Amino acid sequence: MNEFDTDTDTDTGMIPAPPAAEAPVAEETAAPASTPRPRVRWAGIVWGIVLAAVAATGMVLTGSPDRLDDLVAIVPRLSATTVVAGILMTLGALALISGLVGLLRRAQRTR
Amino acid sequence: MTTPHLDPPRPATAPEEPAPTAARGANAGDRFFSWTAGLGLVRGDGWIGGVAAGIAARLRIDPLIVRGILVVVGLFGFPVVFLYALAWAVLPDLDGRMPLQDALRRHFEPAQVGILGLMLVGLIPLGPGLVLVGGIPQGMLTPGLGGWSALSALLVGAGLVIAAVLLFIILRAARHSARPADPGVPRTQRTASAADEAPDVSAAATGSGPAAAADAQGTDAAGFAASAPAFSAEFSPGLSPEDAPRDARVLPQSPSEPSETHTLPRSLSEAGTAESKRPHPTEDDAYAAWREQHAAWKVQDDAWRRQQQDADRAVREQARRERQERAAAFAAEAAERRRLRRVTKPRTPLSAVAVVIGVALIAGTATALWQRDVLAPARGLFVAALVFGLSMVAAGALRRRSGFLAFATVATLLAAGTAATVPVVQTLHLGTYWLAVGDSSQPPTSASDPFVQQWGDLTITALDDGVDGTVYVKKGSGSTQIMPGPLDASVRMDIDIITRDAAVDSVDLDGRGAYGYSRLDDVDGVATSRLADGRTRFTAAVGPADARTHHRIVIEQDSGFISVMRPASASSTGGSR
Repeated sequence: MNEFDTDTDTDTGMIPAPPAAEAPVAEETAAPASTPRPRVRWAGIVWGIVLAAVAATGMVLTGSPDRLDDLVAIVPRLSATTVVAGILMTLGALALISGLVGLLRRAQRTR
Repeated sequence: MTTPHLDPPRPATAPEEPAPTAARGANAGDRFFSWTAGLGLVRGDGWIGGVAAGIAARLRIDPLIVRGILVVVGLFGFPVVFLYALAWAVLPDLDGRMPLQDALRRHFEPAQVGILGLMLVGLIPLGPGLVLVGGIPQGMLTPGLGGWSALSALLVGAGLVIAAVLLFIILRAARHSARPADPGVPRTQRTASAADEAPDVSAAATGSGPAAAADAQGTDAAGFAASAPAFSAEFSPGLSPEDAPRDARVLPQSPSEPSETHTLPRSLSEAGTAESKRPHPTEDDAYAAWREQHAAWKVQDDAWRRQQQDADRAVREQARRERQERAAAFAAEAAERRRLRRVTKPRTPLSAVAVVIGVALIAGTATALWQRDVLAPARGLFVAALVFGLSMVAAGALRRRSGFLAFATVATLLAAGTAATVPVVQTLHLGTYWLAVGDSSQPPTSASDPFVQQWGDLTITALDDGVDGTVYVKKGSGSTQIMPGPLDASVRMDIDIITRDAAVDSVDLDGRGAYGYSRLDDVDGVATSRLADGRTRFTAAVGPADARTHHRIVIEQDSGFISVMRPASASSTGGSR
């Protein structure tokens, strides 16, 4: 949230290339001659897909009023084993996605 | 020429500085405060009171780590808030002021109200209720009640996940803030402290400074005191007046105040008068010469003092300028870093975020309104989360950071999950519930549509209101209590209990407040049978057969406790149907 309302985001944030007025400043501070172009944000893409998938699953599960009976029927079937298994699988999925994002970033950097 | 005489008395005044503090620590209260002041913990520039910042400064770690640990420890039920307020009250700040000591000295300030409020808040035990320990009812962890239920596993898992996530966030934040802070913030702090010390150092080097300037009076007084004894000895009444001018000529070299020196010749002349000897004209000349010399010295001394003060001011000014320059350099550096970051890692533009928020709000609300039922809010929130998630993908593909969009997606998903859970929990009657048989205002139950309670406590009261009733209950685990209402009412209850492994008891009331416990299948007139699926069926009739009201209670419960309250009359007249 604070990333979004801290400072002027609307002017410079929209322009990928440095504005002409700021170019001399960059030279003065011994910055590299050409600032790299913004990269594709793979983490945002992957996590966006995952969260959108979770949201879509939730939409399907709560799709119609009679879905409540299905949801209610799930709960009595839960046991300690299934819950622990679910938690482990969730953690595994988180690790998998994080690792995937890391690999994508790595590939991007070495390219 | 005269300055060397100014210096020697100074050490004599220096030891007088700590003397007042030593004298202040006389009573017990002040001893306590001097102890807390000596702990080496000084409240720094923090968020609330600066206690965490002080601890961090003492341990030489990032204050964020200390704050994070305090939060996590507090969530586990440790009275962190109260102890924090206590530390705030008794620890000194950078000026050495302790709020509690100030309050005891009847010196009040707003911070003390804050400390009092924080202490009161700290007395509210909100920690254990939030995470883990207090979140699980004791019964769910008792093996006799069906062991670890799915709910307890879920709660423990959720607590562990919350703790892990908190720790991760804290460590990450600490690392994150430590990296850019290293070249910047500590340096400014360092220079700030160095600059604070600078005047003192220069003062020591030049033999003056604020401390010396403040001592001006004392130094002179001491200088006078040092010279006075010799003086008075030489000018004792037995002294010959001829000696006086010679000694008086020495006087200008002593750093006495003009007023003091002024009295000396007078006392000298008085001494002379007491001896009935008038001062010789040459003595007057000598005195005049001395006055002249002294006046010259005074001018010189004033000039020297002014010079010293100017030098001090210049040093302070220089330190201030350096501090400002460093701060400006740091700010410029940070601004440049921010600018580079904006260029190489641009955020999603505010306008795009606004568009996404608008679409999510409209789509979510429209979905929720489309089909109005208990799941509608969850459905709408899931749709909004889907919009946010897809916008994250778009932002990433367009090479924009999506920090706020990710935050919005996760927050909306969490809200949607909660909104979906609430109706499920309500349908499953998790918690403590009460059913009245024969009360037509409660929703009716039937064999095909029973009152379902997955976990929790249930009290079934059979009302003696002349209206026959039937209740069907299907339970997972927990405790169920069946009782006539009121307890001494003569209600006929035909009870059918089918259970896998619940403990089924009979509680016999003798009408005088005493209880007797027994297993229900040991009671006369209670029939038990084994069903084909391995469950046990108890059939009991409680209360007189000719009672005004007849109720039928059918309970199907997997595990836990079931107890049937039987009034004295009922236990004697109970019989099979």
